[in-house]
Amino acid sequence: MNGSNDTYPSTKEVRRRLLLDSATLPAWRTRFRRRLLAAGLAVLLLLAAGLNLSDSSVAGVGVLVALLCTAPLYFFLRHLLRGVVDVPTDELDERQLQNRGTYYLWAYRFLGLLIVPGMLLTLAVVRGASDDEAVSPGTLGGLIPAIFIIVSILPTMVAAWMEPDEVE
Amino acid sequence: MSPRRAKIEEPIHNRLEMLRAERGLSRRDLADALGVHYQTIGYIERGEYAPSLHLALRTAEYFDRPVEAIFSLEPFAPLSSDSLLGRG
Repeated sequence: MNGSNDTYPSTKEVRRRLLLDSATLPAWRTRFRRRLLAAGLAVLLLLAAGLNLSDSSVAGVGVLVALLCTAPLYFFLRHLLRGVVDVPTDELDERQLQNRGTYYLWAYRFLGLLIVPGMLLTLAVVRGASDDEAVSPGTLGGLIPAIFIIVSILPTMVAAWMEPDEVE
Repeated sequence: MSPRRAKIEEPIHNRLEMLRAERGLSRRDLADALGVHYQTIGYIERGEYAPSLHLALRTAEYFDRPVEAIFSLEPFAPLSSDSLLGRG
């Protein structure tokens, strides 16, 4: 499997299988709690985006704090979803693959919906700035990591929202 | 739309849980035997996932029963009136 020795799976493969079979924190493996976490992630991302566009002096620190808070939340959600969104195809069964396809489809649709208002907002910020008060490069520079983060996290958020309650 | 076209949401009834219990198998045991995740077995049992034809046939082969004895589009009749399970 994937260039590994037939007898001894690599540490990475063992970790993936442990993650897929993990049954830790059963109380958190409900759709309701996963949705709460996904909503929390969305709030943090919106907060970071809002702060990035604001003129406040503490905006930079705020963005950093918000983004740092998204990391543990994202990895926790990923653990609860058994990494189904990003483990290699070989490790998944037919249901997981089918679900993953659905999650990516919806993530792609949401991304399309986010891009248009995102571009309009950026355009409004750029055009709204007066000539002597140019838009800070940090504001525009924040767009690239923002796009990267959203593209990376969105499928997991969609999966958290859509995945049904687990079987005990 | 053709009236004969199957609805995707149409539930697939199954006797997986009963057959599994009959053999004293856990979901993990059956999942390992069929090469799927144990949660998938649970979702099939709850009727929340309709297995592929391939998985349904593998399941039937594993339990040594005809596939229609395990999966059905209609709710199953009481066991006493069913001969497919080989109980007469």
